[in-house]
Amino acid sequence: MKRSTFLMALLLLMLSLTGCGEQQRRESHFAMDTYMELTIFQGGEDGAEQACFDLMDAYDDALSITNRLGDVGRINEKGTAQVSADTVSLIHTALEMARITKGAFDPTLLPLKELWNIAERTEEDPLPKAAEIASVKAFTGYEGVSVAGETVTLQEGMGLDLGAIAKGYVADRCAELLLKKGVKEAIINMGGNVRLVGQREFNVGVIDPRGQNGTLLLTMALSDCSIVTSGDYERFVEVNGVRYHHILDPETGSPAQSGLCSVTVIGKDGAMCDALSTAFFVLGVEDSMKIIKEHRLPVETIFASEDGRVAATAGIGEKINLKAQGYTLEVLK
Amino acid sequence: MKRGDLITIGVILIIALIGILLITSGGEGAVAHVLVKGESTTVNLSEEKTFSIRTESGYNEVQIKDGAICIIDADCPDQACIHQGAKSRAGETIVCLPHEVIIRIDGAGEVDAVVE
Repeated sequence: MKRSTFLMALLLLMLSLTGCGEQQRRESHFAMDTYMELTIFQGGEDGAEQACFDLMDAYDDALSITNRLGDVGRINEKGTAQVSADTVSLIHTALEMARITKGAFDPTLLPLKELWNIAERTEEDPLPKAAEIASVKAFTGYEGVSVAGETVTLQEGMGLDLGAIAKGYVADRCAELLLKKGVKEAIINMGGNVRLVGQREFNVGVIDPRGQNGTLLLTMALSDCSIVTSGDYERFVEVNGVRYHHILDPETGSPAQSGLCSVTVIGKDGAMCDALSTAFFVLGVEDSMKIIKEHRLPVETIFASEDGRVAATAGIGEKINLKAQGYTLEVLK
Repeated sequence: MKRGDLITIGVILIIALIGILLITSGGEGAVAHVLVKGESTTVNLSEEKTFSIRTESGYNEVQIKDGAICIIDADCPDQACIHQGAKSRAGETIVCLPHEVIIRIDGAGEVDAVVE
């Protein structure tokens, strides 16, 4: 073979190998009561991952309900506290989400969450009784939070819990930081809350809420957005054959029963996606769609119901590749 | 280019393709990394066995069977690691948060990220 032909063959071989063995950097970190995996595909100066984890730790300190010295901890301890502008901004967003969803998302459910901590209850008395729920419910309700400048005050007996919105918010802040650190393409995965960074399109899978062993419900190609799912299939306890999952309906004070197994919300604002995925799980398809339309919310949503329906808003419907058996896809108008 | 040269290029490309497929596939003979509080151990999914992970946070019992790995018992409060079920495909993970245990199957998965 001539030398030039051999060189061309070698070039073709090298080109064919560029698709695999891409220079990915993957690091993981435990914080905010979750496991975070950061994968950087392109760009990023040295130390970008650590800067991101440090930021996550700082938010963990500020927003955790178990750190009595952090912003949220101090608000809950004393009923009122002066906190950082960043925390105030998140609380404003949380209250706005509560208003928009008519309280289906509510950042003041801490007393109810503690009541429903089934793991802590006894075998003889595994479930909260109606009277207990009613009396604890009196100490919830987002209207009881007032913000004046950087001072946040709660009505007596209330507790602030930003757990259902914080991960989405923090993922966005981490994305901003990574971009500042020269990252061009990355995926932030905070315990299943996914944030795609950069213009590259990634293949994202949503878990089948009724599948065995983490099989996928669907896949879709997306870029530069947050994707958050709320579902009843991972964090639950079974008592007498009945499943009690962790997403409480603020109105009933008990685990939500809207006929949905999971809701996935996609959008540019991670905090909004996080809060709405919880709210929509509580509300069900019809009421969620009313709210999306009423407020022209900049999100796309996928609802997976117990009866096997996968209903998706028009903007995402065509991009969905249904993978699991036994489901039908419907695009909502 | 002569016909013989084209055949040579073709053979090289086929070899490259096989190489790529071998690198990215999971399944029997696949390997999983078990990370416990940052320390990693590698296990082979074709070797059936059951083993315990014990830390000061508690214990997780791990089973490798039929080319898949799963946590079958644990004393963590929410048991989420058990609910995640058995994993066998490249890129899949099982996580026990309270005990800081991560099990990850080697290789590139079907998707770039899984939302859950």
